[in-house]
Amino acid sequence: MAKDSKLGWGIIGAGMIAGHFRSGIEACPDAELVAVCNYNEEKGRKFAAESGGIRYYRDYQDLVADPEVHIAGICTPSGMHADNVIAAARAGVHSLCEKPLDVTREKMNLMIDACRDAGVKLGCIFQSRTSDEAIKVRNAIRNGELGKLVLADALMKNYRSQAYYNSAGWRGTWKDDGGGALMNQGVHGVDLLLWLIDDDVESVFARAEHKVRDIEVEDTAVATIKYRSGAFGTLIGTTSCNPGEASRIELHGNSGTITMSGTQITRWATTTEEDGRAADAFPPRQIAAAGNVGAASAVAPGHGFLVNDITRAVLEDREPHIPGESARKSVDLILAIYESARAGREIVMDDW
Amino acid sequence: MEDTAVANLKFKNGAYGALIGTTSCNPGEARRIELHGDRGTITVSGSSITRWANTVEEDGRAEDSEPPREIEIEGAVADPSDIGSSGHVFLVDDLVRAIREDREPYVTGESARGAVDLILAIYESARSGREVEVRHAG
Repeated sequence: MAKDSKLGWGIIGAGMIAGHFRSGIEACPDAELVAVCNYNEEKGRKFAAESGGIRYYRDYQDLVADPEVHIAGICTPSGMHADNVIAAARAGVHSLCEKPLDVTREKMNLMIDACRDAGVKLGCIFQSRTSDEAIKVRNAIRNGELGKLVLADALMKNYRSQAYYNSAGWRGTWKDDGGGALMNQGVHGVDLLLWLIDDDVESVFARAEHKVRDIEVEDTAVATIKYRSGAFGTLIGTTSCNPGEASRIELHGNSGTITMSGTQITRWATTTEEDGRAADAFPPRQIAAAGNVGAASAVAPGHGFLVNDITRAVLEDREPHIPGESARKSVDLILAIYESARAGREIVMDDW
Repeated sequence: MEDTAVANLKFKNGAYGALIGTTSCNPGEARRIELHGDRGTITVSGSSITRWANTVEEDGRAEDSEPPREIEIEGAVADPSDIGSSGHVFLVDDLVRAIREDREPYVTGESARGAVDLILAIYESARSGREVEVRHAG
């Protein structure tokens, strides 16, 4: 690959998120957007025209066969991700896939295997992992600043109106959305929580149901977790809290507490004394809710980071920032939550 | 005896709940209550209401009656004897009046036992590893 030639990108799915990928590609000095595909031709051609007259395809099989497409940006409904990524891999094309990776374990297995067998990179978008604050928190925990973790919670209290669910046929369906408040909106918080504490779940007991929305999937879920470290956790994921709030992460250890609201750190209190009281580094805050009505909030910086990262990963032949094996963990947990809710019993991750 | 408990609740009205009780958070914080309905949200921290938002519209977005309060998180009580006495004053006065007026006190025994019944059910669930139905006596 000549150093001054850019890697060509193709975007699969010209919906709400495609614009973030486009912005990221435009900002990356080693990348160039060359094609888009979308099932709805009018919408697809419009996106192509607005992107400087790039090539339009209706079928993703044709896009990945385009000789100038080296990396595919996957922006289709969640339940279609695996099909897109597998087709790309078979064509020798790398993939950067929107969250969630896909919505069943079998499909995630297939897409990860397909990329490994084809020797192509598979990255996933979890923009929360790219903020300076999140990286700082993760490092603090890895350095043992909170001591032995006692509680690690994620509260994802979102608001989505009935009109939101009615706005596109795939929303709120098991087949294409793969779930509701947890699988769609909550997967960011679940992923961030697991990544910050760098721990895995041992077992989970959960409830999940649609309470107030006319949808197939859950609008409210509460999960009680035991981590492998022995710490406990509570996950709350809902789209039926009104008016909703920024997602919170609350981490408590025997030598300190760190909490986040959205991307902001709202509390940081630690002690280095044995059996000492942790002291706040600054006055702790409760952030007023910044609940989003629409699906895409101000997340472009994260997409830019991750688009650039996978482009560099291809050029340098290294793993992307969030490879498939790491990205799948949040989906595995959410699926276990759904199974626990369905079966009415605790699910032990190793046995399931 | 536990220092950390996490419970997953289903209420009779169908709503879900999460209870977290611990004495091993460091440095701890004021107790929070967070209530959410499809028409609004009310949250309390310690004795302060920190959020009050509601709507009367069908499928409408709840509006905050005033900007949600960004309060300094009150430190948790470190000294067990450091509890204000105004609540006790109220309840002692109420019981005296209840006797004189031959009426029920503000917090009756039947009402007060609910918390203990729930906590005992939580312990039983943790011990047995199963979901427990909470029996409500009286």
